[in-house]
Amino acid sequence: MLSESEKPERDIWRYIDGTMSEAEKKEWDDKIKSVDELQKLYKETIEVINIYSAGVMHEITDPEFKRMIRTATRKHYRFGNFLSGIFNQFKIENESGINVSKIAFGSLLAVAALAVLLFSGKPNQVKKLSSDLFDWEPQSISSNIQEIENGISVMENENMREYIQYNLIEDEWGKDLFMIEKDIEKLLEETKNKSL
Amino acid sequence: MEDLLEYQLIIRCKNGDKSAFEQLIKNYKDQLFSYLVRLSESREAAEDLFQETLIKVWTGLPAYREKSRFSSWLFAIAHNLAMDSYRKKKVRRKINDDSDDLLIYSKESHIHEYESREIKMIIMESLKMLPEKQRNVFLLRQHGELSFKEIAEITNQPLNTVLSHMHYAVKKLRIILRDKNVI
Repeated sequence: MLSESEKPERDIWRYIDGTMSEAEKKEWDDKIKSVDELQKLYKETIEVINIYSAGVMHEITDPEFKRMIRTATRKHYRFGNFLSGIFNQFKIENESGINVSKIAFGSLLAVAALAVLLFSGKPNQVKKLSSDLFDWEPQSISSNIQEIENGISVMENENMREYIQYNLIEDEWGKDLFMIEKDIEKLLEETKNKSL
Repeated sequence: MEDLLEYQLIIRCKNGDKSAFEQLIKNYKDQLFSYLVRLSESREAAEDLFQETLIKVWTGLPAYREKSRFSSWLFAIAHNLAMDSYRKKKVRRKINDDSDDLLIYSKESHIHEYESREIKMIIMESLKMLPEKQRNVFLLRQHGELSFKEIAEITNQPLNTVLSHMHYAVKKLRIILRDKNVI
């Protein structure tokens, strides 16, 4: 950094650039003519500047330049920045540092999500369940229960029970013995009742 | 008049007119390319940076507000890209062997041997000897033809610091040129 005593080294650029006021410029014109040190500084600065300005331009050929322009202006490059371009329109950084473009982007996403929810067709369909699944007593179970109930009621009927027992005996002798046994039981029962 | 023409070209570019973009950049192409060649290590690297700059400018034009001069905006983009590239290379160099640097240097030197204009080589080499900040200010001033105020904005430094960098850059370059018997 130049010190205050080196102010001329700084101001000389304003003189070279022509950004001084008319009065200042005139003052510098006079100083350069009269002060040797300043004249030397001015001369040496201009000399270096001229060397670096003259004859050392690097050129890019026209076909190369046109090719680069074509590459740069390809559609996808600009499309890529399409959104950022839109958001730049909103880009206002306020004093508190809140980025309005970010808020705008967030809001836009929220609105888009809402729109998708509202217009994305029917709600999820629930598969229809057969009424059989909700039946406490499905048909098959009901019929089994019915058979058992019938069996129980049959067993409760004495005559029927005897009939079934009789049928379960395979040989004829057995069947006859069964019938004799039952007759004896009946006689004993009747005798018992009469004696009472 | 020139400003008005440039303004019209910018408006046409914003509307996607590619030929207007070509015209707009054509006015600055050699200045910009020279700036990039001197800032980077080689012509190839400068070409890549030039292409990247064009892409950035084309895509960024719809958002460009005429607060600053177009040339200032253009060079600011090129400057930032060059600085990014420079930082990346610096990191890579730290990772690579020293021998890689020697290879680059000898390749560069080899190219320069075939250049008839010896002064061009001296100028290129002398600029490389400047500290980064001084070189940036010097090149933006020389090739961008930007005011020091604009350079201060681009490089994000106070105006007086920029003027100091310029002064010391010129002083150092003068010493190098004298050593090489150019002046």
